[in-house]
Amino acid sequence: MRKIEKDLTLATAYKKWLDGLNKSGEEHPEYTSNGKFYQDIVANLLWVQKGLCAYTEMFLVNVKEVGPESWKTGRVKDFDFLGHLDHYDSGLKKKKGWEWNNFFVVHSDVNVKRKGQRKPYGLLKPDRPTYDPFYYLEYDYKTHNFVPNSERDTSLQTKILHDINTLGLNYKPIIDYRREYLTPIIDDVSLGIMTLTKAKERLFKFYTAFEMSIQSLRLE
Amino acid sequence: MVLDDQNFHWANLQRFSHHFSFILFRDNVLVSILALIYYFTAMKITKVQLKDFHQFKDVTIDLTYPLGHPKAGEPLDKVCIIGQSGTGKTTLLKIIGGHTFTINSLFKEYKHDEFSNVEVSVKFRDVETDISVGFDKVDEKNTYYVFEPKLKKEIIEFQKYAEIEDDFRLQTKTHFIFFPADLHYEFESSGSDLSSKKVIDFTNDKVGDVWSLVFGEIQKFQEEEIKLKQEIAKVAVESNSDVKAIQKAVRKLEKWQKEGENPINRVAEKCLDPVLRHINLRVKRDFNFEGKSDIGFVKLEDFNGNEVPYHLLSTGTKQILLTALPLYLLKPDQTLILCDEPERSLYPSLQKFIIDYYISLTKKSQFFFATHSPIIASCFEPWEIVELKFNKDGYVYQDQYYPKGKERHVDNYTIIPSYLTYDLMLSKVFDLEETHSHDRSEKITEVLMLRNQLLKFKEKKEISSEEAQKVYKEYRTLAEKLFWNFETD
Repeated sequence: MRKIEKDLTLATAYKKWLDGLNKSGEEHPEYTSNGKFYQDIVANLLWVQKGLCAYTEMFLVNVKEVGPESWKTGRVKDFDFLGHLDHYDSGLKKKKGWEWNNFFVVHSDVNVKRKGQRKPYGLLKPDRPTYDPFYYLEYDYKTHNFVPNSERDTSLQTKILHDINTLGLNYKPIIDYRREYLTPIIDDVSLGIMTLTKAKERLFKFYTAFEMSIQSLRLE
Repeated sequence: MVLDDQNFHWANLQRFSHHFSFILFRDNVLVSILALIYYFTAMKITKVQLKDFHQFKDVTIDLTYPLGHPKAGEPLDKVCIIGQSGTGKTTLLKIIGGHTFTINSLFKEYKHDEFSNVEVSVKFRDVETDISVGFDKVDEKNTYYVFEPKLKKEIIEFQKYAEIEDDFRLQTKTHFIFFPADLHYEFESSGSDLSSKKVIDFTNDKVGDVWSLVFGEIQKFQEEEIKLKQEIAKVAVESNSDVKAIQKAVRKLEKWQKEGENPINRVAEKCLDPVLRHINLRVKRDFNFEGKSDIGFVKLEDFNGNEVPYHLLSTGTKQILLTALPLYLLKPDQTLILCDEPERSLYPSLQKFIIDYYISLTKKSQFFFATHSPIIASCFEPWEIVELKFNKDGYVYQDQYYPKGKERHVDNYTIIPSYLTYDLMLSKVFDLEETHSHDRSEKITEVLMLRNQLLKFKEKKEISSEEAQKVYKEYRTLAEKLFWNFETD
């Protein structure tokens, strides 16, 4: 789960609308996927998320499809994507349902089957200013599971564990995708078939798991 | 082949058919039909083409061994059809059966003219041909069209084809057996003589009738035993002082008992006991022969000798009996055998066993199984599996286990069931993404966290501390519940 710099620079029409809403202190209109700015929010998020699921780093869309050239007067052109718009804190959905800071685009199964209404502690919120995946997480390369960083105290580890599970980082199909994608690349690096630089160039998803694996296997 | 006098043989055609037509369009090309006949012999299927049939659109299913296989190009000996409900597994079985044999029951759900865009390719001996089926509305009968039969790849005249077909038909006994998914669990005989039937469809035929194939032998065996026992009694009465004569008669009985083949023993040893032992049952071999019911159908007992009455047999046991017995007693040889849902009511260990077991009861036959079971599917090579899937438009296609654009060669297959765990069978073949529960996923993460904590304690030389021991206890308990199977998960 990478750190995300969540700049709201593309969906300017939405930004203007949201700023006005927040300035007046009004409750947000009911959240619905048919909302006027839904696509714009998704597209801007996918741009800052580099086309990946904010939590699992699964590939969702070719980032070029949501880049600046796909926008006109603050609105995005129609595009297809895999995934769902998730309210990180589902408790805010009712009154602040259109809050930019609470949105992420995530893998649809992670949203439906894992996160749902579960509430994370917020330690693993990818846009939190102090969030650093290497501080909170370790990657177990044997099992391809993210685990709490064992350097942290045990009570914090328990909270991190809760957030790992809530955000679906170790959802079984995701683990399988990660294993099948990363193992041949990391194996090639281990065997000296491919340089680390080349491997990094080839990579287009699961960056955090890759970096952590390279570190733990001392392949740097 | 263009129709002309040389390759059209009126006499032969009449022998096989009441109706015929001479030409039709196939792939938009005018070709001759060499024959249309009502009856086919045992043959193996090499291809099914469904150009437009319900959910199937332009589907071609190759049923031969792939390149690189010692039997490359020959019909597959066994085929496993898998796919989501509604993809047409049973339909495919019925198309195969219906196109090679006159079995109206296989077609009863369909309008007959729906089959005009379906072709089944077959091979027997060195003859290959394509078959299409039509429906004669006047006679209300199916008509079968044979396209351009070939002998060793060369197109042959119909007369030649008919001769080979005739000869093949005479030399093969049971041509076709169909076990539907809704097999009737009835042991009673209807009196029908299955030994003379070439085509056996257990949608209508009664499995109980196969017992009559061995019933006569049992009766004969019984009569012989009674005769020999009577001889002893007669000698004893007529010459009661002649011990040698009595001993001779007794020895004769003993010799017969030793050498004579008890048909029940044969059924037990060669057919049922090897499979029944998996469920702690065996064939009951001792009978009183007091009434017909004693030998009316095979009887089973537990390992303590307690007979298990039919009404107490489990559905799985009935399934085995009603499938294995016909396969053994009908002695299929060069037979086309279709079996829908062979896994019904069977525990995994038996599912693993039955495919090879059923095949072992037959000779040179071709089997088609339609199944939902990953255990059954794991018994097949990748080229023997026909996986049907829906595309995004709702039509069915065959998912291939080798990359698109590559040839159908054994070396190009990327999914090989015998290399896979059942977890991988489920995810890679049956497309089940979640091969274990969320609970398990979360507990694996937790156990890995606890182990890491213990490693930290070890690093700090605090593994004996009270806190470390508490974590260790938690770790062991959880690891045991996961059967220590999380390292490679």
